[in-house]
Amino acid sequence: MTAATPSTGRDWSDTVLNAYLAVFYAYLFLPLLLMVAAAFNASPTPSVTDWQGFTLDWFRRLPQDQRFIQGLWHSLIIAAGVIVIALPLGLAGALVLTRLQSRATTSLYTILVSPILTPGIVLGVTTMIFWRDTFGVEAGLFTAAVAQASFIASYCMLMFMARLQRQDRALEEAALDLGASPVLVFRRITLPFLMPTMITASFIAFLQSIENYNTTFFAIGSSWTLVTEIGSRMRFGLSPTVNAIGVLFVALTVIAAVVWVATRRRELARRAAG
Amino acid sequence: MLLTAAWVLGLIVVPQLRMIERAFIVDQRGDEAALVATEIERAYARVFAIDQDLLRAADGAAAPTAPSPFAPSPSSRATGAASPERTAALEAEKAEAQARIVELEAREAEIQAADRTTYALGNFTGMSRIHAWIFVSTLFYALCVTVLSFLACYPVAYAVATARRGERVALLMLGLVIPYAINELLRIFSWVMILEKQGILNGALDALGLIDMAAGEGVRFVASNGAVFVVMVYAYILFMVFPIYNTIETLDRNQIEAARDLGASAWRIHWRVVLPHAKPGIAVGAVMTFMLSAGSIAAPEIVGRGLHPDWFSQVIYRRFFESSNWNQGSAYALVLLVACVVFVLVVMKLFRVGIRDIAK
Amino acid sequence: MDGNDVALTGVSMRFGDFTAVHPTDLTIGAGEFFSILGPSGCGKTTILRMISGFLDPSSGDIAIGGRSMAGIGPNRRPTALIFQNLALFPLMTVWENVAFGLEARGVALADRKRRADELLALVALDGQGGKKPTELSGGQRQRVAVARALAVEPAVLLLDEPLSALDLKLRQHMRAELKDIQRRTGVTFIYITHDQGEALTMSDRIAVMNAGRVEQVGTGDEIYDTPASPFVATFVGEQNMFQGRVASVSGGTAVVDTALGPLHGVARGGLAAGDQALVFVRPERVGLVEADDGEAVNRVDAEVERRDLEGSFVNLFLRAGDQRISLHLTNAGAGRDVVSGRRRVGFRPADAVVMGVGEVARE
Repeated sequence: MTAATPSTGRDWSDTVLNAYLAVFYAYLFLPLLLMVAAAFNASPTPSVTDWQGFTLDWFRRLPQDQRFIQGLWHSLIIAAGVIVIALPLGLAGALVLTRLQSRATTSLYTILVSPILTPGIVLGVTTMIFWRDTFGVEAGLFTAAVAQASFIASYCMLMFMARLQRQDRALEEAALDLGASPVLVFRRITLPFLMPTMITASFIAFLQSIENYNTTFFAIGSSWTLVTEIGSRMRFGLSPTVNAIGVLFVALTVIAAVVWVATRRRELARRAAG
Repeated sequence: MLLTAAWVLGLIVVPQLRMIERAFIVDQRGDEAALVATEIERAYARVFAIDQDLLRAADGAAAPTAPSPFAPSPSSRATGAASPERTAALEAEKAEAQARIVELEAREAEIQAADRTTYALGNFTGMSRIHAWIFVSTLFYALCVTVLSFLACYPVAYAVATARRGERVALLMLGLVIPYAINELLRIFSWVMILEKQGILNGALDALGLIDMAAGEGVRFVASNGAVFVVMVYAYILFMVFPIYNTIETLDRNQIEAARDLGASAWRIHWRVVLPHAKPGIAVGAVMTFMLSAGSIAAPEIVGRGLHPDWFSQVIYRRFFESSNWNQGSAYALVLLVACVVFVLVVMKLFRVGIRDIAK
Repeated sequence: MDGNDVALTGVSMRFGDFTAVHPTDLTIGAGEFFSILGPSGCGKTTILRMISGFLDPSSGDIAIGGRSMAGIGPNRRPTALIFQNLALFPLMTVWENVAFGLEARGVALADRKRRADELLALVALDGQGGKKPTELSGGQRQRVAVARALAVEPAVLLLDEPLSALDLKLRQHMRAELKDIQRRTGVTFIYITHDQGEALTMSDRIAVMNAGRVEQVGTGDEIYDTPASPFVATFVGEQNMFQGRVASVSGGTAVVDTALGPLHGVARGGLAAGDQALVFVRPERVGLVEADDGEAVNRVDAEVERRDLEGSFVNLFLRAGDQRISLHLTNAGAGRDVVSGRRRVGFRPADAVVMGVGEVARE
């Protein structure tokens, strides 16, 4: 249905709603636009009101900044660690919860999703204490990865569960009936079925890990990631280099979001057609 | 499979228990330990400051340093061209500070070895009035952030969920996804720019002739709880939109039309049909927003610059990294955790939704 | 409820380039059970949504009880709509659902409750008010939807294929029940359906729609016996159809030359000799005849291909050249032992309808 005439009496409330939407989106985007604009201002404090000319200086400085480069490297290491830890855990949890028919599943479920509902700093604190007191491991990249994995695993689990709930159990039963061992069934039937989720879950885990500040801030000790480094720079005063990084983040995000929405729409269109 | 699941538990439950245990250990180390810890912290800060100076001295000639009012100390401001002597002096100073750290840390270990611990409630009862007040106001602000986010987000979620045309939906979604996906720190940062003393808001006031920035006038918006509040609403508002959007999207549009056909006003349609349907989404949004704002360390740290506002998360941080009082820090973290759990339970009860509805 | 007739004058609806409803005039009398019958996508739901106020017509006017409805929203029209999926509010109890319209009108709680109980009694759901809609059966939910719509005392009740989700048995039962409720309340019912059985059994009058146009309005018998177009003829009930060219028209009877020889029937619409034409005759109006019954008009010899026993009916399928002919015979008569062979069939000219070529309904 294209261009359907909306019925009388709706016009007024539609106008109000549209006006509100405009205000809301302006509220969302204006600060970001200001931040982007300030990255190109020659003024040494990030500003748009005090315009001292267009410059790309702040971008040129980025690759020379050793702490940023090092932080980026740390972020990637942690993210890789998080994927390695969180994906198997999330999968195991999802399998147990979807396959186990027991009254205990609700409590187990509650425990397994609780990290999502726990403040990030608490996760950071507990991981730090646990590893130091029990194993004598000082806070660092390893604890940061473990702390992040503790809640990212829950997200992965929810994604795997959503997928598993759509699986036809008859497929596995048919394979077992044909004489396959449970291990073979898992490898040939279940895992291939979960493959798309594996990929999206890794992607989400990667993003969550890179983006994380609260948990990492506590668990990483004296080391740093890109994001905690940005955070500590901000605490010591604003610098346009941070704006420059911000522009890169915004650009990446916009590209990713456009791709995401486009693929989602194509998917919807395909589903509508099929 | 069960084995791995047990491990999942290990990653979550045991560390929590360890923290709780910590929370109940009362430290007998006395004041000296705290003093030494502060010294160590200071020495580290000094080393960091020197490092920063060295860094600046290295590229000092290429780019003039920003005259930041927030530089750690006046002596460390390396303006002008770098000289070898200055660099050498800094290196010497750094070495000295590092030696001091080694010394202090040895002393700290000594104290810790000698310390006796008992289980008691001291860490909780010992919470000072100021900390208790910070705790309460943190929760209050977090609650306000939650409520305000809900009020702001509900119409948006409704509009996006009920939009008819495909292009409109895609555009509106894109507008929500982009700011949502941009790092929390950057969202906070963009607002700090606005609220800064030399920031955009004051610039606007200046342009309007309300204040005179050249004369040093200007409202210091940052470093107040109000500023932290404003920034948090901005940083966490989208955690409210998506859950509500997801539930409203599943509402059968005929329900809305049926209510309208039966003579219900727009207000009544929302109150009786849309809102009840969106309850699980609202619950999720409320829990996420509250949890994020109550536990946020980024917003108060960056907006506050350690100047004024105290958020409970910062208090916890200081217990751990500045006073080195891990036990009390644990106790505080536990208090925060309990507050969040209570909030989740209250929301579940209030909205009559189960845990499975919440975690989606 | 006198004078609450619904009048559409020149009403049309366009969505962009697509015309869903061509300009249409339609008058539905007060207290009438009126059906709009047509295949999906014919524009019948669009008409319903225009009457209920969810869509504004692109042109023309809709009046209820002589009052123009232009600019009046669905919540202020004297109509109530029953949705195809019923759209009961799942989070409210049954009685809250029924009383929702009253709640919207600010009726006090006690009165609402009493009225809801009365209405639930009317639809034979006494004592079920405290349940949630999901706890009821399909037929019961159906009755809740009717009660909810009736609660606002509408002049016109609009029903959008409300029985389509039910199974056959229940559907047949609900037909009788809806008709009964309509008779008792005296409310005008406008009923949308693609099921001719529903339309024929319940309605006082039926409008048959195709491709955005109303092709015929009339009682069930009129629609069935004297269809106004090939589409109506084929959409409602089954037909034998013969193609040919008009040989002559005289006194309301046309003779059409077909591959099987000349066929006689009642001429509909302006026909002239030489026109391409279609002859329609219902399977139950065709009979087996003796080869020497003395009649020469409308007699065809054909080969029996199949015989299906339906119980009280026997369906015979025959073939004459490329032409298929089907017969519905009662199980008491001549068709009982016919299984194969060559037979002569025939029908009266008064039972056949001759029309110019036009669109026919697809099976």
